[in-house]
Amino acid sequence: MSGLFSGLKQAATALDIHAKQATIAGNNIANLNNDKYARQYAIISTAGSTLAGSGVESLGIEISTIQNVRNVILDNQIVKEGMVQGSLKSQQIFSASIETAIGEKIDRSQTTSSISTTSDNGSTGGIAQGIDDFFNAFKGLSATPTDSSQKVVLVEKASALVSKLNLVSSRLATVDASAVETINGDVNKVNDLLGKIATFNTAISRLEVGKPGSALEVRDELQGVYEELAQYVNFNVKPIDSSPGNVQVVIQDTSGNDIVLVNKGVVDNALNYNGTSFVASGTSSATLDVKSGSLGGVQSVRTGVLAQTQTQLNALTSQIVGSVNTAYNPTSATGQDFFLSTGTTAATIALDPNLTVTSLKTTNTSAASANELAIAVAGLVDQTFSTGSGASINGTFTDYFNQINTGVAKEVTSAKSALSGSDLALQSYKKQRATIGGVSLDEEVTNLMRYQKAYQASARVMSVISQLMDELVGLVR
Amino acid sequence: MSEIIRAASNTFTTDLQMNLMKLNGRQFQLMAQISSGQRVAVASDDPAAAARAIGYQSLQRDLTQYQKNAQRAENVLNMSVNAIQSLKSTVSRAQEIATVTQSGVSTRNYTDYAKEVNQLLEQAVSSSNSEYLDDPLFAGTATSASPFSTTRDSNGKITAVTYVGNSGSASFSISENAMVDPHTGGAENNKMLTAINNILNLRDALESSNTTAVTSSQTALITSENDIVDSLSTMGAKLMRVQTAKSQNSASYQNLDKSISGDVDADMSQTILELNKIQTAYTAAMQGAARVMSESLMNYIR
Repeated sequence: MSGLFSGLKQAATALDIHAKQATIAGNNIANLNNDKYARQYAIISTAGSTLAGSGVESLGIEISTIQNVRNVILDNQIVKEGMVQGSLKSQQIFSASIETAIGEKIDRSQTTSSISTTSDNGSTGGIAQGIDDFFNAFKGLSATPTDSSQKVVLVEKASALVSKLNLVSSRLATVDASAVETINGDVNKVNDLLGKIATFNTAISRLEVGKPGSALEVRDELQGVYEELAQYVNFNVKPIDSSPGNVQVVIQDTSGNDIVLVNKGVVDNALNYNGTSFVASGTSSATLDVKSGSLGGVQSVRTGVLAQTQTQLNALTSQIVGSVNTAYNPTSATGQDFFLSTGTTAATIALDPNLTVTSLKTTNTSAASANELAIAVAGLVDQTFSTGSGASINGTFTDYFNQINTGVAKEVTSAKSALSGSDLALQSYKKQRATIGGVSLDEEVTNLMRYQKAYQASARVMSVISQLMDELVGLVR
Repeated sequence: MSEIIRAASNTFTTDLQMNLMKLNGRQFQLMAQISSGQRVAVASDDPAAAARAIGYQSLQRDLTQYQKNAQRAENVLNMSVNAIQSLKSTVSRAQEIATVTQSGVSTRNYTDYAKEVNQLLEQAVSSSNSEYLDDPLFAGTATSASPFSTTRDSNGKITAVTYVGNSGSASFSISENAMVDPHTGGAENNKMLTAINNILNLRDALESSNTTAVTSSQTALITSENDIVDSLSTMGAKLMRVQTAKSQNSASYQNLDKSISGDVDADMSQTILELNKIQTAYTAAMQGAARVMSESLMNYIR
């Protein structure tokens, strides 16, 4: 009789375990589309044995633990690659914005395949065309010094060049403002995520008391937060040996020292952006070395290609203003400059207020058709400048602008190409992780059927034992 | 036998989504190339090709301006040649009259010839003060007034002609490395003045029936005619230079256009072929996905 009771108990335990396994499979299926989730499974083991009167009896089976399938190496690789991807995405977006701001397009529909002396597509092109049109207008005026319509054209082309430089400068300023706005928004997200990490740390240490590594879903969520955080900023996670299950999230400062952002359940330092650099805000006020993630990417564009483009554009403007004024007003006569002498940046360049179609001159002599000033200004477009000789730029105006435009374009293509590689790497890591720990519907359904059959079999065993006990009890009557 | 890889259910959809997005992006890119006819529209499409194309386009704009300048130079030269030829005809006729009258004609005939030469003088002054777009052709750079200024008596008859232009020169670019001043120089303009004065002297000699003076005028007119022919040769040579520059500008422009086309334009047949390839892959991916995704073990659980 005692053997029957024991068998009944074992069958009941088996039912529980099969039901639990079916529940785990159900949970796996429920998380089919949850990328953060790693499939779980129960480790079944024998519950041991006991010495009974009839000899050694098995105590049945039990669930020793529930585990999930995570690969720490892949998880870390995904976090690290996420930082690279976040940085490159931002670099691509913002360098493409700079290219758009410069607005240099190659439009073949605006040109004809044969030369025409009547075509003039206005001033629809970018700065390159603006520079050409301006100096070509001077070339035109040198051929027709007394032609007032040519003077009108020249003033219009000069105004167009000024407008284009002003516009590009304004657009670049907008890109910069947008970069700062993006950084500030991302800094807030980073601080939210740091708060989440602290919360999860607290939850893990509470849930895993005596059962290290058992808070599977929370750990899945925490890994998801790390991966999300990696999109914004570089960081390292360091386990705390004295407090199993808890971690520190650290970032280095510009001197290479670790600054703790999250310590166990507490955010020691929040991230802050002071307009030029990232600083810790809390137990430390160190300047942080943010080099990847979207924050690193945007900052590198801001301090790199954006700042360089603005500087180069201002150098180009300064050279145009200085050279044209010198050639147009060689005696430096007051009020007779072509460009406003103080407007030497792309944002401030302007025509001299005294310059009108009537006051526009081609000569300093009294001869109406003399053109030495027009020739001098027109010749500037072919002049090769050198910073070694005190100029603001190297090369001709057109070459220098082409360098600016190509420099930005190379940043765009370089970020695009690197991002494509990073995307592939990240997808590959994620695929490898999914291959190991992702949920397969077919697998779970197969397991579900297995657990169902096992459950039916255990129930059948209980039924048989019950019948045996009925028979036995029936003998007593 | 290859390794059996465990495939998570959402790996398939994630991969499919990513591949469809890539194919879609490429289709969009190819469609944009076909519709614009350009492989490169902004510098980041191909920085090196774009840099070259922008440089070439800049040269094309320069050439267009040179061509406009050359056209103006050609117009000025043609007008100048016409005016000088007119002056030459005038001088030739005056010389003929001098030849006819130097051996002596009747007083009445002298008077008639003098009247004709006076008209020739008016014509010579008028030709020499010819303008192009309101600018005198033979004034040097002093174009604010007619260069050959006349003094007239109470009857309106020209009594003296002086040159009030200058010897200034205003060259301008007509090609990448050529400049030209389409106007006559100071020496030519002075020779024109001499020719006019020679006609004036002939008229005065005829009016006074002075055969000696007529003879010396005839000699001077021959010299003037030769000088005018020299001027015409100079202007003709300039005209040829300008026309050569125009041809070079046009040829350079077309060569640059070919270079730009090579860097920037899309190879249509290649692009369309690639679009077909991508479209086939896109359709196949969607059809395959529809088949695979519709099947699952779930369909067989009863």
